[in-house]
Amino acid sequence: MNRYIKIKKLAVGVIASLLLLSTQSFAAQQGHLKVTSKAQKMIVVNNNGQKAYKFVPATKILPGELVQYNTYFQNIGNQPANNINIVNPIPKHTVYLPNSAQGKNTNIVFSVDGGKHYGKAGTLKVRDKTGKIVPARPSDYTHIQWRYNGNLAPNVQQAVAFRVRLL
Amino acid sequence: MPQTPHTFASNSIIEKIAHTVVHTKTVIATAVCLLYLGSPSMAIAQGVNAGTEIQNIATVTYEIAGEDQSPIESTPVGNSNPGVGNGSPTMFRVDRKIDLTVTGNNDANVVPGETQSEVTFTLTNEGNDTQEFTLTPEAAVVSDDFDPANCSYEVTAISGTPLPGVVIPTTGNILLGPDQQASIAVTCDIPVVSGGSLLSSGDTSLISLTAQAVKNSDDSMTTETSGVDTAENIETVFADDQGTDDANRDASHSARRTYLVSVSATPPTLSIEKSIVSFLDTNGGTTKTSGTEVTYKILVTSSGTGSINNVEITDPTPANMTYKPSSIILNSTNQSDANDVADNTDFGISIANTATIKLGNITAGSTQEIQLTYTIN
Repeated sequence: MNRYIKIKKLAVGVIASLLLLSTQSFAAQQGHLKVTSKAQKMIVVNNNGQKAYKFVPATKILPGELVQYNTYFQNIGNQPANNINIVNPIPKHTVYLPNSAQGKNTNIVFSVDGGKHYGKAGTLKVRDKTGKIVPARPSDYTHIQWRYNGNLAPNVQQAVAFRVRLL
Repeated sequence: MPQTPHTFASNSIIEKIAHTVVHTKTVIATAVCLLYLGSPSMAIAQGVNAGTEIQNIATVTYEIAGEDQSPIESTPVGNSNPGVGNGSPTMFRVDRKIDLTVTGNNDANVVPGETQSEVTFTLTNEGNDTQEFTLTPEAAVVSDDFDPANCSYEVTAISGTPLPGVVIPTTGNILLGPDQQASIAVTCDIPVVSGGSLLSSGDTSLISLTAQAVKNSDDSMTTETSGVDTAENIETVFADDQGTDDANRDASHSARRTYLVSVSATPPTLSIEKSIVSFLDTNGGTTKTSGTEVTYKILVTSSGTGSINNVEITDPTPANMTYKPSSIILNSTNQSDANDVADNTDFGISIANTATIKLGNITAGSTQEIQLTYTIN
């Protein structure tokens, strides 16, 4: 009888640890960074005769209007993160606004082939309608990549941004 | 271990320079080999259709202590769950822009009394949703010399492929997709007299056409959205300009055309005379007795220049006589007595016991000859 109880206890223990194991493997994993993408609509306003932008929530947007995307990345781990790369495809139905990609401490490169290859703005080439190789325009960009220089210390948050026009 | 040659993680100046060199080489190589076939997705002129979701996801790769980590995708509120597919797009829906333009095309030179004179307009849907439009011609425009009457419109053609259910021509509302255009003919009757005096050369009448967006592609009524905007909902925004006879941002647009009267220097005149051509009695003679057939000739002559419209000749049966069936001859052509559209001639149908000959519009200077026969009772 005692032996049976022991076996039973053992079985329960095994099942319990298996359950624990499976729970761990199915639970949402925690990475070291938290990544957030926010969209804001840009409105041109007159600021004492100067053209300025005002940012409002991206709730009412019509064709032709401008949207700024901010990508926040925060180190939520306890070790510094390095070699950070942020890749953002230009959203479908929008076109990249020239010189709008920004990010402190980053090198910014662009792709015109769906993210296969990247190069600095001004170095990329595309074929025009006649098949001739011509310099790419910002509206040809398909992806943006920010290469963050240096370490991102624990708890530190940084952001990169770019702007598009809704087609 | 770094997987990518583009390493900027080092703090060492020497390493930075080394990496910069590597990077520059890569860029040169990239610049030469980058051949991208085709053009980026082209949008229609009026922009992305209302309701389209615009989605954005950023993906971050990084290292911890020199070890590659699983990529992390963005979400609108922040995500730290690594792995492709664990992010979610930051999304907004393209809202509905109501925009339209009516332009006037052809004016019309008219003569007093002219009917169904046509001026033309074009309506363009400059919004980003399919809209149903009402069309309203307005003749009573102030600051002109006269007002035409009996105005109506017809959509005579549309650009591109008609949307399902759209049949052209139509005199009803018209459904247009973004960028689609409708050609519209407005016809009115021109009066002879206005304000107690005859129309004269140089008199003008303005005719206005207003189009209004009334229904959206999802069958909802076209009203401007009020209240709190959301990224998820499709808000309706009026973005139309002011037309000649409507306001700014009212889902309507309008334009005007002109009827210009030109009265010829030698106005057309009309004269009519009736004479007897022959008598034919029952014996083949020319006596005027019971049963004798009397054939009359009605001569309609016009002079001057221009045209005379809606000319209609009626000849009541003379007393003590009876109409001889099928005896009407117009310009040597036998006419039927039925009220048909073939010859616009009848007996006793338009008006009882009367011959009616509708000559319609005749050119000044022409002559019309009608013959018909009555029998003495």
